[in-house]
Amino acid sequence: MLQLIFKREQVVVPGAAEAQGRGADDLAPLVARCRRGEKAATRTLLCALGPPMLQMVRRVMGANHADVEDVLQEALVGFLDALPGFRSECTTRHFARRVATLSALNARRRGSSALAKAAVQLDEECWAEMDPHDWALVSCRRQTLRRLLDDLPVPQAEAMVLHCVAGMTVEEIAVATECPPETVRSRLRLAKAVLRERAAADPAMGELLEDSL
Amino acid sequence: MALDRRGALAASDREALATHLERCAECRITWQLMADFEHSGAPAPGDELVFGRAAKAVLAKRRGRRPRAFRLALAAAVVLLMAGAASGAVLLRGRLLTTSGERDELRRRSGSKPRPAPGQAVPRVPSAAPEAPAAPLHAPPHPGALGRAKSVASRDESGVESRVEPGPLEDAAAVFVRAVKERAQGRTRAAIATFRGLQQQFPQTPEALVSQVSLGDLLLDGGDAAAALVAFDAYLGVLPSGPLATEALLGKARALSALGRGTEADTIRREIARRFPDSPYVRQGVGIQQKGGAP
Repeated sequence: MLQLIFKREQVVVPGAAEAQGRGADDLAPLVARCRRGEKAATRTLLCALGPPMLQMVRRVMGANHADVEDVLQEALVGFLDALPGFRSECTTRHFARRVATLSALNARRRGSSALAKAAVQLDEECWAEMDPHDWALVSCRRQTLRRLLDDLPVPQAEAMVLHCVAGMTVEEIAVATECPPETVRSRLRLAKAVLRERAAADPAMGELLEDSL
Repeated sequence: MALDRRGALAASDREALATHLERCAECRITWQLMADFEHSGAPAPGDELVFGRAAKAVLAKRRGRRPRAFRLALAAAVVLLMAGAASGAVLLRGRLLTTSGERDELRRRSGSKPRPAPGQAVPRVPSAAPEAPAAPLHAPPHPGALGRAKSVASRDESGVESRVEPGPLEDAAAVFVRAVKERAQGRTRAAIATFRGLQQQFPQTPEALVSQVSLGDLLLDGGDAAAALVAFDAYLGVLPSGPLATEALLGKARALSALGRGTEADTIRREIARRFPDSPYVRQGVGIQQKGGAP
């Protein structure tokens, strides 16, 4: 897998700049205007980043969680507060996703007991073309990961979300979290080990994973 | 895997990934989770209302805030006030310690005998053990001792003898603060003399140790690299990992460079980068990447 990760440096594909996490940031001019205090630019930036941040919050919290909108607000406030310190080492979108991830993780930890009770009802996304049995498997796996996030140390949970949920590469996570890639790999390795233990300990989950191979 | 989910892998890499997934259970789980979450949380009808409400609330919350520059200025003013109050407290400390009980307590801690009050007879206690020989008349003051310190003559880099006259009841902290003030005022020679006086009067106090780094900097700026090297080594010899170790090592590297010992200086710079990777000097490359030059 390491070879694959390093090989990707040589692949030239459309959107590769975004994949690197350091590519051209189309929101950079808007960010500069926000830093100068232009309210219209701030509003535009919030509207541009709202969808990806809402998506991250929904993925971590559960699509139908009652606090999604509150957590989104919290994430947007956190993003604007952190903007003066943003050094543009990653794209603004990756930065916003990270802020949303951390806000959602914090929200989950604040209300973990209530979440545990309503966990089954929170992930009710079902696509019309999806088989109900497959949807049940998908929903179960999502919930397993979300429960795992509540128990992992925050850096590991953050790395896991950015990798598995947001689909970011190790290098992109490293840039976004200002950590060496090896640190990110180590966090992911530890988190995956715990996930595997959970899967092995839970017969239903283990069966689901076996089925998914 | 993330790149493959985006369709950004070449065919050969995809095959290699598939082979790897057959062997690695953890990566299989990760792969499956990526697929499970790929379409999760997608935009839904009514999301524009959610964004609108969130943006409005966020902008309303921030409208009530004072500008960042104002907040920074306020924080700076508070810090300055606190620093001023702390400096005043340090300066007044010696004058406030006027009761004989406090002096005796300090002397007791430092190992000296309390002085009898005027007119009070000194009780003679017979002792079975033989008395220790009396201290020599011109013995150096005990480290950390508080009291009327002797005036100390020192010679600065130009050979001009300057006399340090400590104030009444001036302790190591007060002398240190005085030297720092002199340095801030640009009175380099006076600051050097005061730092040296501090080291002679209170040789084993923390202030004397810290002053080695300040003295080294002043000497180095004045061109006396050899003396500066001695000062930095004096600090590092006692506290090799102390709070000013980075500054002392940087100063030592500068001094060695100035003395033409570039190889040793580079070794020390590498040591700084290795031991203190999070130091602002290392992150900003101040004095670390330069070879043979002062930072």
